[in-house]
Amino acid sequence: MKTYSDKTITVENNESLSYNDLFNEMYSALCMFAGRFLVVASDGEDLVQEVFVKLWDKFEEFNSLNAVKAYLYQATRNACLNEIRHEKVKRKYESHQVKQVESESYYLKQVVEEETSRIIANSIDELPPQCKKILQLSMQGLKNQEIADDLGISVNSVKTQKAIAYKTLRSKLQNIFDLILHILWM
Amino acid sequence: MNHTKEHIKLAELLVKELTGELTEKEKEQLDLLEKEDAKKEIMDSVREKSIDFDRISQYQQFNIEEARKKVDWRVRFQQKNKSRKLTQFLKYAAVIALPLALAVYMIFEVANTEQNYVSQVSVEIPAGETKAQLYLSDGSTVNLENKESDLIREKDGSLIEKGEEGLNYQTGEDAANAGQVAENIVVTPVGGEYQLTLSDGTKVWMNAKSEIRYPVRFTGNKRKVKVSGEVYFEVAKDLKKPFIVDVNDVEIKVLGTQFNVMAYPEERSIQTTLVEGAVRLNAKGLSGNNETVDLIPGKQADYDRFSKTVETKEVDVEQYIAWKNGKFVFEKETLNDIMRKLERWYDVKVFFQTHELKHKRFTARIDRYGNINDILDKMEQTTDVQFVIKNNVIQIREK
Repeated sequence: MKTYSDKTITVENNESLSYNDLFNEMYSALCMFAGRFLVVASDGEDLVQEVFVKLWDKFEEFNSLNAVKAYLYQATRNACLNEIRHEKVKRKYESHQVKQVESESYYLKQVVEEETSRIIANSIDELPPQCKKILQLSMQGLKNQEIADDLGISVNSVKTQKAIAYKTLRSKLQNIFDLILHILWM
Repeated sequence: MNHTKEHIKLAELLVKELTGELTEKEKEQLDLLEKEDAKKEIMDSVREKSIDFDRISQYQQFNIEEARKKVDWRVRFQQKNKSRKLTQFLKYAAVIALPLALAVYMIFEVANTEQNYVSQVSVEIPAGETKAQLYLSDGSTVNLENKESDLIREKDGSLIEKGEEGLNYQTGEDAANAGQVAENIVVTPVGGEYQLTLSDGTKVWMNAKSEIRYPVRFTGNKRKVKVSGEVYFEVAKDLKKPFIVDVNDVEIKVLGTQFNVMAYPEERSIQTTLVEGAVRLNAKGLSGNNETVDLIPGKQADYDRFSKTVETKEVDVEQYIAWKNGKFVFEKETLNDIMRKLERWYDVKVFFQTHELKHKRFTARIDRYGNINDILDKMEQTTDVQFVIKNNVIQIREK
């Protein structure tokens, strides 16, 4: 296991939050979030990494989890807007397209949408590895037999793993469960 | 900022509502938020969409480990720069408290320049070289790093010759039995290049980080190969069997010609540059219908993966095929584009200190097999950009 420079701050309820954990929790979500602003979604990774580099020096100034998260969303948005301004000049994008993306209301809506997706994605992430893989493949629309072939396991063990996913997620996300159930058994 | 925090909280409440975990107090909070029109609109839309599984499954595409590593490098880099600021402070101190401080300052300054010297000159980053991997149809691999002559036999009986000029599938011997024709794949790594001759005599040059898939013999009425990365083709003439290069969204059809294809997954556009002969491009359009474009020599077709449109323009061909002739030719190219090419050929990682730096433009002609320092030195001399090299990491900053 590789070790990185890390530091820890104290947030609400005297809980500690490490830079590393925050990175793991937020990185994918911020990249997806950046994609909501950019023309070329893949450019987002660079920008988000830059945001995290800047956060390193400021990290100790925060004492609340939501405040750090808000900072990350805000900083990612700023970086993206900077980027599309360049693009606008370069590729002559329709200015009304840019204007819509630049608005505050667009931004806030994207924050809520991404956060909801992130919370659910992270709870799926906490499932046992094999379980997680199977659920993810189901989400991509693969059938049991296809998943079994893909992972080199039997259809029966795909079913068993799905049952474990079912149980674990049920205690975590009760009502969404109907929805997840739908994908697990389709 | 406070708005953002409030909306993060709102997202948390919405998920709880969805999962049935909402407490009485939280329910009240949510009701209160719903009284604001702007928030109500967001809430309705989120509730309606419920869970966006499409998006959630896209979360897996990111390599968090790799990203964490990059960020860590840059954080360490920043820390090093801070020790530099200390020497700057000492400069001021020296002016105030002369003799003693001057001595201290000199020690620091000398140490600092020495270190700079080391980091900028003595680190040798080798240029790319002949290097590739061959995947046979049975899944076994052959390392193509050395140029020693060798014969490789495919499962279907065909012979593959390996030598000074790379792989050659023109063995002249028709030992291969009918039936399924084996498919081979050659892959060049970052910092590698390779050359091969297909069974029909078509010559192929592969740039770094590229891949080509082809049958060991061409049967049927067409010759079809699949590529990604950057590949130069010198297609053997066969009017009865068109040669087709498949690059995912674009298909290039030719009879006998020379052209270059650049289709790296990390690049926004797929570029086809025609040197000789004629090619026909079939590109996937936005609404599913294809766009057909014919190219004449000296023209380049630029397919934009985002808008799914093709643009053709007149170009200086030499610039685009320079790599095959052992050169880098940059004509007012952005630093961002240049560094992506260098990253692939020198196996380095590049970081820009500011985003603005990416858009600076350069013109240069350089030997591809030379030291990367020469290239960077040249660019440093002509502009206000500075390159700091440490191991295989290059940081670019304003002078």
